[in-house]
Amino acid sequence: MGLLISDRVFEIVGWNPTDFRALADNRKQWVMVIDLARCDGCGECTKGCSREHFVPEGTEWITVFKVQDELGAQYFLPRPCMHCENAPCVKVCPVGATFRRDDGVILIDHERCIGCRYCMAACPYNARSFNWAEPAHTPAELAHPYSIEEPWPHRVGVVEKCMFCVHYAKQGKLPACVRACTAEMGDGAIFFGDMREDAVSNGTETLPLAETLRERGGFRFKEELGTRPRVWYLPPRSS
Amino acid sequence: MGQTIEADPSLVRPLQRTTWRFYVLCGVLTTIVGIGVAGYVTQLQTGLAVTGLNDKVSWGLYISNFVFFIGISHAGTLISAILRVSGAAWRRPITRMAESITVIAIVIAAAFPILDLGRPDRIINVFLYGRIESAIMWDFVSIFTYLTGSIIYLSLPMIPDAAILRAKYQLGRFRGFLYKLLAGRWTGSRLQQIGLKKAIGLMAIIIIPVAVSVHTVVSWIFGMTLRVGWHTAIYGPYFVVGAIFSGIATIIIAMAVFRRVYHLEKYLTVKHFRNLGVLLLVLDIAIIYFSLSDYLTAAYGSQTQDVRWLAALSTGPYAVLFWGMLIGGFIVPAVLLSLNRTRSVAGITIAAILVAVGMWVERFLIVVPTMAVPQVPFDWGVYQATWVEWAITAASIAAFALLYAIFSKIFPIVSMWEVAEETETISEAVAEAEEVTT
Amino acid sequence: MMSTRTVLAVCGLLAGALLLLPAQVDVAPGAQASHRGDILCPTGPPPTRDGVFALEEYAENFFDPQTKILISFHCLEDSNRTMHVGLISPWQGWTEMRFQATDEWDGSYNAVRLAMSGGEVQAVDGYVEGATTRFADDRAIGGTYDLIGATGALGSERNVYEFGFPLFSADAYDSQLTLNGSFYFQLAYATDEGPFMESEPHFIQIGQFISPGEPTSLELTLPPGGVALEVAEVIVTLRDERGQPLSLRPVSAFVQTTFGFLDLGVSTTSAQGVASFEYAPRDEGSYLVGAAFPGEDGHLASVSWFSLVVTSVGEGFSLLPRDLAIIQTLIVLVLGLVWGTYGYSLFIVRQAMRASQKEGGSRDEATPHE
Repeated sequence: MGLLISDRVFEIVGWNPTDFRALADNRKQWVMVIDLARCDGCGECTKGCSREHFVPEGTEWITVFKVQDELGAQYFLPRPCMHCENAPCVKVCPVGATFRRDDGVILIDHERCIGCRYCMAACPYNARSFNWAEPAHTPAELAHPYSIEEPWPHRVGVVEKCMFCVHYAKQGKLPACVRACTAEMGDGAIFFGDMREDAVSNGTETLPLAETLRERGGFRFKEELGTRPRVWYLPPRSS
Repeated sequence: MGQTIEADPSLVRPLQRTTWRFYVLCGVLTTIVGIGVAGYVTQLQTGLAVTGLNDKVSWGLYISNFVFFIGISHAGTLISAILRVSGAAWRRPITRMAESITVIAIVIAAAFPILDLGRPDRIINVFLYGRIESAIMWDFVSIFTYLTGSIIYLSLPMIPDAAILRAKYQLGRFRGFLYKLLAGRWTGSRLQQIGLKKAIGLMAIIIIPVAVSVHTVVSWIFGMTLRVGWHTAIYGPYFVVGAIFSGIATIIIAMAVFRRVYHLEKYLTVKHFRNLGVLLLVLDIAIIYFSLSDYLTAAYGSQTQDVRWLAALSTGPYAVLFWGMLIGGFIVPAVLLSLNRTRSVAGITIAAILVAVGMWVERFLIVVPTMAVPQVPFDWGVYQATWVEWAITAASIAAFALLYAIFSKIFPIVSMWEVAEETETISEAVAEAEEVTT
Repeated sequence: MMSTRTVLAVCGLLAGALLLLPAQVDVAPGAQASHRGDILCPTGPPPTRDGVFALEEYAENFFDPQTKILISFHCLEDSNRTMHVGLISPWQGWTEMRFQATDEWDGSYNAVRLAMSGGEVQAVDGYVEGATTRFADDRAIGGTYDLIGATGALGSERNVYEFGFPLFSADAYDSQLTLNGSFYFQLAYATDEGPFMESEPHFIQIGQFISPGEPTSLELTLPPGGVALEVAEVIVTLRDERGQPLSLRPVSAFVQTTFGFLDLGVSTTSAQGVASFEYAPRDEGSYLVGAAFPGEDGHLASVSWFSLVVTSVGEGFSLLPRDLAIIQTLIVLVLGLVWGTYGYSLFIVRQAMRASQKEGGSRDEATPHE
């Protein structure tokens, strides 16, 4: 960047301030589209996610909320991390433990996080959770080597959240919640893809992103906050 | 000329004689601090699970205490600096009392964010990877700046006193070493006095914006988020005024205590209480005004989140605290401070105690209800502080009292040379007046 | 590993298949051959295996809509029942043709896996047993390679493979199709990154006489350099062997994306044989666009690939904190002022202390004077 004085100082000192962790393998812009008309609140996405990432008991990386309005309309709203372009959590982190990667994914370095929980206070979507005590471990979890893209074994005193399954995306595999949803529903409600390609897929169906959002009235959660999430919703009733 | 200043021995007496009551007090306070330390050890062992904090209400008592103590810290420096800059002569007996509150309160306040950390073992990361974009770093920088400035501002006026104590009293090796360290080559010559006064004057001026910035930045930790109740531009001034408000209350309480315990009626007169009482009243009215603006703005527009937040405060789980704070912490003290009958030392002290408690509740109500308001549909956060949090809170207050008590045994709590100078200038003025008349 | 029992079972099933033809076949929807009905493998003189794909070498082909692979067949009536296959595959990893001469697709199959590596074709004759779904090199499990001259050509957008193999082989891990009949085949591919996809199983009839289909060609025209977030028009022209436009024919277009193909839709060609599609990539990069004509009675299927290169970027994705730089400068100045004042205050006191010593010294001298 070189715009900030601190960066200049780093330059003079000879320390490269570019956060190497923010560099993604190639230029992708991951996005998710959740079709609320298809979501029946079964919660398979949460189960699939927790299973594949050993998410500790009592913590959910993707939560399905039941929404009921005054007129009795009811629908379900799955909430992963929104991976905001203008992410409040990234702004407030005092140590850069949470950062936005070049591919638009917000990750957390569990080895740097100091557990101040400012990011949790800042997140308008309650997408972050904290390990208040040492979580219960499984042998498979403990056998797995920790990395920022696959941040388990889970550990006490740090904040964690959905990381858009970038470890799978790298292998060309859809996120755990997407696969779990499609496996359960046949025509899955969760789509994932590269925004650059203007396409999202649930594994059986590939949709044009812009056109689908335009024609189905796609929206983002709390658009008015200007966080610019990378998760879009298709309204619960298709018109 | 400097050496001609005659220190009042009554001010040195608390340093020479220590009653059994003092030791009992220290013992009790140390025990409370000990319980708090035990609580923290439990927290270190099991993690923050021992607190009532959870994923929804992830900040609680610790952060409330942090804000509260930073507020208390305003007392001192800001009051003494403002009075010094404005040349209010009556300030002289209370400046040191106020300035030492500042230093002690900042130290205790600074401990709270660390107590709140999930990984205090990684605190070094703040230095290794600190990000200027984060409001926590702003806080870190401004609090550090404030602490340094406050220590300098506290120490400079202690130099002449230290010289007096070094020269005239034998108070043991430790204190003797401190006095020697502080007094340096102080002889009290005219040049030295000019230099010292210039330095103190400069520090008094610079410390005012620093103090204002500190509490503004603390408010920004909250204000910079997108949360209901926090995300408002009023927070900066609101916090600053609240801080001075609670700070003055703390000075009044400290004055009442020292006046009684160290028999300082001669220096801490009813006039001091009344003057500070007037200041307290002014700030009380200011805080009522700010509160009104804040709550009315939210209520009138009635945005969904604002309504939820206000309902939680006014009729929900926080109603008792909320109305208790408004009535007991703001309105009753205003009445006590306004009526001539209650503007006695006792009345003003009671008002100050109410204000201090009320302001603690205010800090709690800033932190917790906002976090409890649902951000996603539609479950409320619930927060019940546990014994660990209460123990640490009690320990922080005890530690504050303990450090303060110890400080009063190391240095005279009333600045000897400044009050001596006051009598001197008065006698000079009298002499001048006499000269004119004759 | 395949046991002798399995081999016998395969042979038994094969015999059953011959008796029961046409058995209940689960031909995938959309698996339409260029010749209406079942996919046929006509017989005739062998095609030249030169890695240069000439449609007229094969009398029958089939475009698989799932994997977007175009497969062409040609069968010989020799003793080995040699079958020649030509593949046009957009996949940069491996491409695989699997076949099984039984009346029910059970996932155990003979497989030919092809990949381009350093301009050379890498062909592996293998076997996959249904239970394990693991691909094994024939040689590694005791079989032999009986591929006939596999060739390939690397293209920037697609790879072309040509090879022949015996439908009747002595190798237990290969097919033992003795008579005219039918068999299943499946296409599979892997991308660069590793995961693979497979098509639905399809069904081939062998040996029936058909008149050879007329080859067609697709021309894909794309804007030379697109602008991100602007619609790029993909123009497809369908022609027959003589270069005459084919009108009122269905043509589909698709874009290769990370998780499968994005279908740009199906469009009917105009009188000039032209159909158009729209695609608007959102960022710079290279996007692989394909178009296919599925074929019809008398006309063979054809496919065409082209890379859409988007060079200029519209709006960037990252926010630069330009304004912060100004604020930061101010903060640094203010902090400097504050700390400077601290330092200056201490300096004054220090100077005063020093000065007093001198003053004290001079005072000693001056005292008598006073």
